[in-house]
Amino acid sequence: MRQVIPLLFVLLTTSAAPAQEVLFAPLLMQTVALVDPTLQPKDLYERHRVVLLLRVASVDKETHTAELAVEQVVKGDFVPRSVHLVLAGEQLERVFFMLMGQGKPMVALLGKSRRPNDLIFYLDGGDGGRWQAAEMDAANPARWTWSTDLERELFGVFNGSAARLGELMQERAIGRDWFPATPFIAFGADRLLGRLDGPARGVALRDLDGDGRLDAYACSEVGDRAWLQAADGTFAPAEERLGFAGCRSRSVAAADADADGRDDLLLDDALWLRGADGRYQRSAALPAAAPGSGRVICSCFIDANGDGWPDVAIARERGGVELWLNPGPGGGVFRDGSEAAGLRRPDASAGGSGWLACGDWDGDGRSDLYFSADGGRLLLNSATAGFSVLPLGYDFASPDGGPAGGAACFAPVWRADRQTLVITRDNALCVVSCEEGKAIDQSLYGNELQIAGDHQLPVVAADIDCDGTIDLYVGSRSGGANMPYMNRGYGSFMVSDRYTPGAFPGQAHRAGARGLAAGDVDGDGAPELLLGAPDGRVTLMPNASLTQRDPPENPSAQQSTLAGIRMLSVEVKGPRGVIGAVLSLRAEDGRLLGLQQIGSANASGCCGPDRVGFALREAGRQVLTVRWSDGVEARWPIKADAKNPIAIIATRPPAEPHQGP
Amino acid sequence: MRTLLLPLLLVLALPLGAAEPATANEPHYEDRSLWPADVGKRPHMRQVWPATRVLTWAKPGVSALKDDKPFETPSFWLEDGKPATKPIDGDCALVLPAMPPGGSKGRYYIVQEAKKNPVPSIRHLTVGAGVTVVWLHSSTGNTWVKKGGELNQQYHYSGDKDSFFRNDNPVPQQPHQQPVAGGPPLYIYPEGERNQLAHPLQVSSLIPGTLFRYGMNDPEASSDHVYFVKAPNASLEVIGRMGCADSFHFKSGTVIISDDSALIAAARGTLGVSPGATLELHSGAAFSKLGNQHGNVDLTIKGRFLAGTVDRPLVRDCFLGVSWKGKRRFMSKDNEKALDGRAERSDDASFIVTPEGTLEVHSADPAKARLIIDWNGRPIIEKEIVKTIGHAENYAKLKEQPPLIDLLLVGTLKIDGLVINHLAKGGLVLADPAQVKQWKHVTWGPDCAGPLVELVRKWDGKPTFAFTNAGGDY
Repeated sequence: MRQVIPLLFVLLTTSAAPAQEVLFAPLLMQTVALVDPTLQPKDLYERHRVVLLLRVASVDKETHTAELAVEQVVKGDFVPRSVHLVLAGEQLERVFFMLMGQGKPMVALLGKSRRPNDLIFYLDGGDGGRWQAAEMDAANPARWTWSTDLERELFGVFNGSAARLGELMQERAIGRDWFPATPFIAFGADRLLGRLDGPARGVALRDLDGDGRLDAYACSEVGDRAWLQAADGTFAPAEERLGFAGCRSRSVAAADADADGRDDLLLDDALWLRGADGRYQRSAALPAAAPGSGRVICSCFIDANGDGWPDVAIARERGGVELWLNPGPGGGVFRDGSEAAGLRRPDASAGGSGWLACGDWDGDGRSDLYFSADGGRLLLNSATAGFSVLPLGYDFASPDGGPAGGAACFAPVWRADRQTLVITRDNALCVVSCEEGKAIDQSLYGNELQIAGDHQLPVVAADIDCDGTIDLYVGSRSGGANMPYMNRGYGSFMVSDRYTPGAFPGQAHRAGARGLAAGDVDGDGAPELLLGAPDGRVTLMPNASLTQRDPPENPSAQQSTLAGIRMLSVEVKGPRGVIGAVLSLRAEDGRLLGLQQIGSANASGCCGPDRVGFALREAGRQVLTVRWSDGVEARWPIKADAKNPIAIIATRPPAEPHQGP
Repeated sequence: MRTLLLPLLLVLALPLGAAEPATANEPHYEDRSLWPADVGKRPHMRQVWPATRVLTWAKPGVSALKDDKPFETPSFWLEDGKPATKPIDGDCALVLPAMPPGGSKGRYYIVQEAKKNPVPSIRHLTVGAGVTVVWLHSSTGNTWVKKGGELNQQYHYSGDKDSFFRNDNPVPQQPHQQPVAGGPPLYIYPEGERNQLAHPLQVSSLIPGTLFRYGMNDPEASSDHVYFVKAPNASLEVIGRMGCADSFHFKSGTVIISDDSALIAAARGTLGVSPGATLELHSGAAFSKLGNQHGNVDLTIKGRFLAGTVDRPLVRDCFLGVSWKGKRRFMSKDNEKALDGRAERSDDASFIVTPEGTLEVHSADPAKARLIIDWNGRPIIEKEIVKTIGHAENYAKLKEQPPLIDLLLVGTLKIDGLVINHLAKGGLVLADPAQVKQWKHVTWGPDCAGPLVELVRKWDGKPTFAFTNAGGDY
């Protein structure tokens, strides 16, 4: 019989239709798209009468049964508080063992209109999750018979973790879900700023001359370049004018190091202070490297002690991480705080080489460090005991023996309410979240995070598609194509190029990048991308995503939401506490809608501006809170009727600073 | 007494001399029932491995599941016949013996939560009959899945040494095949087996339809994403069948599809061979997509694609199965968009060799042993088409189209023994159309859309998005 039915179908279709008709096989339900826009969780939610969140309470490996605890009835009515799950047959034994485990979350959707006892459920397993089909006993709703492994029949609906799917369903129930199925990113034609004489390294988008407009800086071992943006939006070379002629660097960072109200630059291990005349001069405040020190791989500003004065972290070849503490209001010389901070210990890879990034990973209000040496180390900043070490255990070696990977940034990409460490490996992207103090790599649940480019190195985080979630852009150090990962929410990412290859019309997107920076150059609210390529080109890619938000005549739900988004631009003023400042956006009911931290979302050795953007997807009143790195806080209400775009200059209040956490 | 001693000694000696089964770490290359006569030509056979720890599952038949201790725990293993005292390290060889006969259950399971990333790597793995392994498999050495064994999920093949992946579960027998000593075991599946419709038009493709008799995700050696990241001078030879529900990623090193073996991917997007990487097919081997993707490129070569090699030329046909491309003409405002136009989906080519890529055919008898490039015989997935085409009139036009493929071959080409079938008009785009005349032993299949002069077009020199979309992964 099993063979007759398909045969009958073939006979019916082939006999009733022209020859070409049989090219289309509706029963061939092998939906293999990683994102299937025609069937999304919201569609499943609408099509089923009941939606449940459950947890596996116990598993009986002998009888192949499980007890499930009903944790929440998200939609509809369901009386039983527990469910007994049995297998329909031994053919499901393998998938039973593959998926079942005590404590695992599960999402179940029960009852379509014509098949009230049919249900599907979703569990974590393999790389991602897996959909299964079952039947509810009509006489006993608390007994389900697991009937079919749907394998990939619903692949592309949701490929992430079951817990995040549960969150999506909860938000769907109250109309707050946002899980776009198609990308809506758009960039304009490349703007080539110039070409270095050698491969680009770190790049920066900063206001170098204090005129309020973002400028550009590109490092190169054969000569740095700088460009100032004029009022008409054009960029002109300015390294001579600014005082950087002859500089040769690998890494650039920016902060007001001496709290004089003017941003300064950190080029490798050299501090350049901007004077009142607009020129930068190298300062002796940051001591020169000791004789025999290795070359700088990258460096960054970090407020390590929470006093609001930017400190300096430097990663040298075979030199581990150095921490230089800002002298503070009394001026003077930066002090070597490496030993006291615990960075000279062997387990902190004191003699290692690697990339650096900084950000508050564990949400305790102190900026942590990531160092890629020895498989990657999280250096967690404690109040009293310096940095403790959390080894990550990656292999950053390149298969072709080339330079190692492992560059990183911190950004709230896994969840909106906390930072995640994003690390690039040669052909992979790792997303490491803090879960009760443990480092958990969530990449396997990140859907298209598993699609990697070649020789990935720099990664920058920004809300590139202006929808309220932080996206990732990864550069290829070997000159291959760069990778845009659009954050769909709930831990899921989409490589937009797979669906809209024309979104980046220029060649810079396909020519690799050794340096990346993101910032709103033209003031429209959408962050541009500055790329420093292996061939020396320094290119600005203008972001046109906001220009395509006018809804069509019959907009989809996604289009309607996009059309209603308001853009909030926030510039954080110091002079102290800007590096490491945390900006949080909350709804009127206190829900956290967005989180960003100045200085953390940058690619290693690169630097973005001290202004960030939020895409306000929800209507109503909201509150922006800025917490400077030394604990000073201030709030700005955002009115429900505030017109788009909204700009806030977050000026630091004059109150006495909190002495840090 | 003495007359009994010798026979007694012989009887006692027999079990002592009984051969241990071949494993990934001890492959028994000299055993002709396991390996073909020419195995000596295979890189993995010549590879010398330094000594390593060999850990054997201590209790065959006893499962270790997610709620148990991690499988690295020493108590699960024997080392040199004694309980292991140290956990698994990244360079050990694991042996999972076959399910013992007479047990109450048909198989035993070793299941590990797949959350770990980086995935723990091992050197060699042997999965015996009646064993199901569920973990993210990451190996620098050899992997051998015996008939009746199951390995879920393959993930990562790396390392700087030549190695093999061998799946002894049967490959569907192709019409021209006969069982070869030491080759993959063959099996003829009844029509309709494994939930596959026997598609009538599959018979018009030169790609053996029997390759698709499995379900989408081969349960014996399943995977979602498989990353091949061997060192540049190292290789992995795939013996038997390897399938994946999503994508193969050929990032570095060489992947060799052995004689009569197959890599079948179900991915929607483009698969790619990255610069510096090589994909090598041998006699009877096949590489194909399982579906018939309407968008993106099935396979983009920025590295090398070899059909046979100088040292191991083809003696029988090998196969590259690609998707039918026709939707692109209906997915832009201009329904007559060319292959290298700029419409959203204009890069809807089946197979691309970029300017930095290489395609070579090495054949011992190029008149008979050829690389066959053809439509993979799979029908369109209707649901995807309907939604993306949009307009009913376009859909109607599309359904009138025969299944035709498009090739963009603008890299280094060395062609001697090639069959192309189901080629669209203008479907072969070359940097110099005249170079076709330099190709040797080329056959234009019976289902091509026209005479040669109508099939070939000159490339306009502009790179398409697919050239530089990352790694050829999409």
